[in-house]
Amino acid sequence: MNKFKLFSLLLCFNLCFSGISYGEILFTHENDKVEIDDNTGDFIITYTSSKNNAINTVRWIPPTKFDVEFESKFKQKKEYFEYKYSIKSDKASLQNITSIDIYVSQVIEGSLSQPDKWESDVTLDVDSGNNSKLVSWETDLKKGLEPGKKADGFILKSTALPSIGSVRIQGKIHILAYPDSGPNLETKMYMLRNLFPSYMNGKRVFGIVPKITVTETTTILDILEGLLKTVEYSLKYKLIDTVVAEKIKEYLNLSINAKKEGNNNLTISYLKDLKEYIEGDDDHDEIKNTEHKNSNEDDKDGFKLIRKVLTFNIKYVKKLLKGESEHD
Amino acid sequence: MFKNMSRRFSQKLLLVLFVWGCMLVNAQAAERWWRAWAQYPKYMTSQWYTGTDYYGQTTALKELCDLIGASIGFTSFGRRGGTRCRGNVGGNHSYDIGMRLSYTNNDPNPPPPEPEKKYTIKLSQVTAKPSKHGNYITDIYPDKNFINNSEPSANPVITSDALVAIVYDENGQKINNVNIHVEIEPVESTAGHFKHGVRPKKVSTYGQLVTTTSLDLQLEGNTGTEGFKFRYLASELSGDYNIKVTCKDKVCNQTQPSKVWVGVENLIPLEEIPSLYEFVGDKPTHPDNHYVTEKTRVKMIILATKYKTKFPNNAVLHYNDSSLERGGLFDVGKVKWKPPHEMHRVGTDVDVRANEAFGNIPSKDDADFRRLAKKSGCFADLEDAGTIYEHFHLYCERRFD
Repeated sequence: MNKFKLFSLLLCFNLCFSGISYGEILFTHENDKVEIDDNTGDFIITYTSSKNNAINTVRWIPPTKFDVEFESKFKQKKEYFEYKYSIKSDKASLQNITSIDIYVSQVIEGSLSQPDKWESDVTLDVDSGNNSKLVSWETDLKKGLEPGKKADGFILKSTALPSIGSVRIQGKIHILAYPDSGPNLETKMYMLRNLFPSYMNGKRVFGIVPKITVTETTTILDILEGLLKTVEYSLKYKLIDTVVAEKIKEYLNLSINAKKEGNNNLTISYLKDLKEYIEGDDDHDEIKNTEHKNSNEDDKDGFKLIRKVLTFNIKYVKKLLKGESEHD
Repeated sequence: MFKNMSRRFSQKLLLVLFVWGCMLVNAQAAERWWRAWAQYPKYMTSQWYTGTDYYGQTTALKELCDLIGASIGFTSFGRRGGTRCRGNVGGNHSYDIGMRLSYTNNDPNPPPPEPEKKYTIKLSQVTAKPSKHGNYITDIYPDKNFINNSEPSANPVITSDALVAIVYDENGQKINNVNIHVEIEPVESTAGHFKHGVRPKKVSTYGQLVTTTSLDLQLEGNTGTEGFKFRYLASELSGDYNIKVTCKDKVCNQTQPSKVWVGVENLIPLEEIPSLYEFVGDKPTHPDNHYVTEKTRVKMIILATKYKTKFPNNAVLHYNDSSLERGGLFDVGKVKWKPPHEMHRVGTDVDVRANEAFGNIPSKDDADFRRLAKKSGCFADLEDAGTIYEHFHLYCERRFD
């Protein structure tokens, strides 16, 4: 759309819709208002123009108007881990899916592959401050994965161990455009802090991602600390019940302390206990109860992810510990 | 002897007549003068004094001058010079009165000039914490509200550490109970604001001084036994601010440092890389408009590189305003010292030209640019859409995974 048309459209909105209420009001400040259109799920931003004091109304269509199933798998190869992802867009989705973003701690250069008509790209994640990367798979913006369709074969190879991380899946990009400098600062700050994080970069799902870095200097303690972070991250996003999370952290801390004392056998013993706990031994009612209580499918899926990640990493660490003991 | 008595009588008579004259012109000045007569009869004369008690007499004369509200000065009369009080009795009339200490101009050993008592007034932090920026009393960095406030400092948000003013004598001994005056003087052409004309003297442009009982552009107070304590509440205009402190009853020289450093820390100039991006938007009022944080600097390079790779045939990106050298209010437009250039205060926002003119992002590539911005770690919205000022506003350095 050229700029003239865009401007005309915005003006049309101003003339036609000012003063109309669309749905739930999310934020107000003086004459400014941010609300969600109950019918479309779009955001309507109403504000007084700093140019001419006119009331302007701008509609922003978030790139999250779709439902998606996201699947993540990983496999240990000889010198790296292979992570494989697939997406399936729901039939009722209103937008085509155009990109998948995953933050990873390490990715092997040139290891990305993807389905036809998709492209891949790696960007330094500047905000992480630790050389992490953003892996992106994208389609042409005008095409994308249509509702009801599936795409798999999004592959990356990494030397980092599996953990739980956010995956951002984006639909059609609609530019948030103001005919002037936009709403007042308070409204902008609200949008920056509340709207953009949840919507502008697409829908957030969770998956297994390479986040526990393994280098020549990585120790067993580093990996165990990485697992602790994984549990805390899962708790933050409510992928796991608090009681279960605390129990897992307790086992992990015991094994960390045992390792710090140089007692490999005790470390292995605590990790074994942890494994039994998360695998749902009959003695551990909390997990069963939690699973039972959490009727929400997402919570169940979240726990499954964590179980998968922890089980693999425990096995990996135990192997390293045994290797150390044999070497001694 | 009779002759001597007669001369003294005529001198006194002349002085009394002079006082009556003063009373006619200015009753208040005359009243003060009359009290001085009663207290210092010895000096109420125009007799020339010579002798060795130069300093002692001068001190007494100073007290006399203070009493009658006159200034002490030096006058040369032909071959003689001396010190006297000079007071104003109203209108354009002035008088010289008091002791005249004289020496002849051809005196081979004239008395040395009068050494005035030297007082100094020193401003420092209550809890000494060295400035990171050199010769400053203290540094003031913004809190998160600094970024948010759209109106500059209706309620100042950036507070200095507690400051204290103490007066010392020439021997470095603290002098208690001195009445002082404190005021703010912005140092112009600092922090990236140039050629702005006169800065209006108000809270939004000067900041404020605050004690437990007062809040104003200037303060009066007494040093008591522990010095005069106050804080400086900066406005949202970064820069150097001189805190000028003077004694009210004495001549005090303020020691250095006297300035406060106000601004956002760790902003660095984004270097221009013509093969990747070019700068626009610098003006005589803000010649350096591309200061950013280190993270934003890297993001801008990544974004421009990705854009160049994606659109090799497009012109390179044109980066407009980001932040000024020390951040703070970026007052673009005709009205100086005020918004509306919102954000652009802490080195994390950058404007990128996107109107239809050659060299800017073509509208057909807007969505792709938005995607590239996202990958580089920035949100982007389009402002002044459809006008010649159309541009992307990038909000960087806010991480939402």
